[in-house]
Amino acid sequence: MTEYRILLALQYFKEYRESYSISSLMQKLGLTLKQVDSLIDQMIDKKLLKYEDYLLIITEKGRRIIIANNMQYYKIDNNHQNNKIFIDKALSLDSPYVPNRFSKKYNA
Amino acid sequence: MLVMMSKEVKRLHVETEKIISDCIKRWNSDNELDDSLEFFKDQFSIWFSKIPEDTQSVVCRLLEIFDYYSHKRANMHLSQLHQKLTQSYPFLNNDNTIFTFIKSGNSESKSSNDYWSEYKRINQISHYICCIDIKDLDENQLSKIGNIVLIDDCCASGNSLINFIKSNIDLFTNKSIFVVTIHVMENAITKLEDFANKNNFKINFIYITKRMKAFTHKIFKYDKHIAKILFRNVSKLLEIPDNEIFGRYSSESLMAFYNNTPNNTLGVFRYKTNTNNPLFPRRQEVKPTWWSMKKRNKIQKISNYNKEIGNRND
Repeated sequence: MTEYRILLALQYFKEYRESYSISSLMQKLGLTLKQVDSLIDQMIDKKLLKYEDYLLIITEKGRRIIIANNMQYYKIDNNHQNNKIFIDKALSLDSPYVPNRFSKKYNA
Repeated sequence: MLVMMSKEVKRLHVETEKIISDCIKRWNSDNELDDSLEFFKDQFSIWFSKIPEDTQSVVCRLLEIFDYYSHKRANMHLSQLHQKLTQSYPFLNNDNTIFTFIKSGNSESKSSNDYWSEYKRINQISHYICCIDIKDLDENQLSKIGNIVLIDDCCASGNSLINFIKSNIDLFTNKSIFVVTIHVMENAITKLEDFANKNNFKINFIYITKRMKAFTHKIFKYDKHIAKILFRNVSKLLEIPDNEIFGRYSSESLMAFYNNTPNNTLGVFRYKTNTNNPLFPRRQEVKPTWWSMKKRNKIQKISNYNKEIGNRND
């Protein structure tokens, strides 16, 4: 389980780069602060993450682990690159979700 | 007529480009912009064009004292803050000090988590003296601790901190509190110092930036009261709700961080409406009705209990 969490966290740091945040990692992995904190400490001890220029970054060893586990194309958050700044309010449960540019694809 | 219009468009373009470049120069030392600054750069011209001409100078002056902290800048400040703390208070050590943060009762994923977690790692503080919840410490442990260091991004009104201390007043009595924040408002310091004096504990502030309320600065072309009225009018025009115009508790703050914008910041810069696509949007999630009902029920029960006790005593 820990190995799997480490893989997801590695992917998170690779994807988010300088926009990572501990609370967002907590939400993505569904973990408490204590769990995320200890996970990051373990990753630093294993030299998968390091601080460089005041920011936590994934190391070469961390990147190799992602590739070795065929996770290089996996996305923690598919919308991250497209919607970097999330500002819209969450939809209520009874509102249908309409994907971006749905009408364009539907008409085609 | 067309020539005049094109001159006006050109003037506005030059002006907005200058504001953008001045702001980015002040906030960012790197060549690469983060997501928030990219967004600011992309949005600024459209956002600024919606501000009426008579208020544009007010908004420009406000932007001159607006502080944005990128992740790198915030983390660099966390390192500087620790140096300041240890140099100013050399008596702090692993035996008499703990490092914690303002823990909200309801939400696990507050931004204070981020700053506390990064602070202890950047400054290599022993995990034995970093505490997620101060209430987890037993009486014996607490009796040995004389100093509590609270880490946070900002202290804008001081109210969250006062409420946190009030709800744990036994834990803070006879202790020295060190509030370590990147950004602090003068009013918050005054309010917290008064509160500390009344409750017999010591409070010290370690910060990078200290600011006054936005409309107490003498920076406007107009009198500051007129500037405030113009700002209120433009906020109403952009459909900002009354209680959001000058920020929570009317803090009149001007700050944004890489992970969010505090709700104490002036509304037009962070509050999204149908007519306002703000420069530093605040991430906001609407709480379901049952969330506030739970709290209301608790308050109702306490009030009924007190009434019952009161009746019995009568």
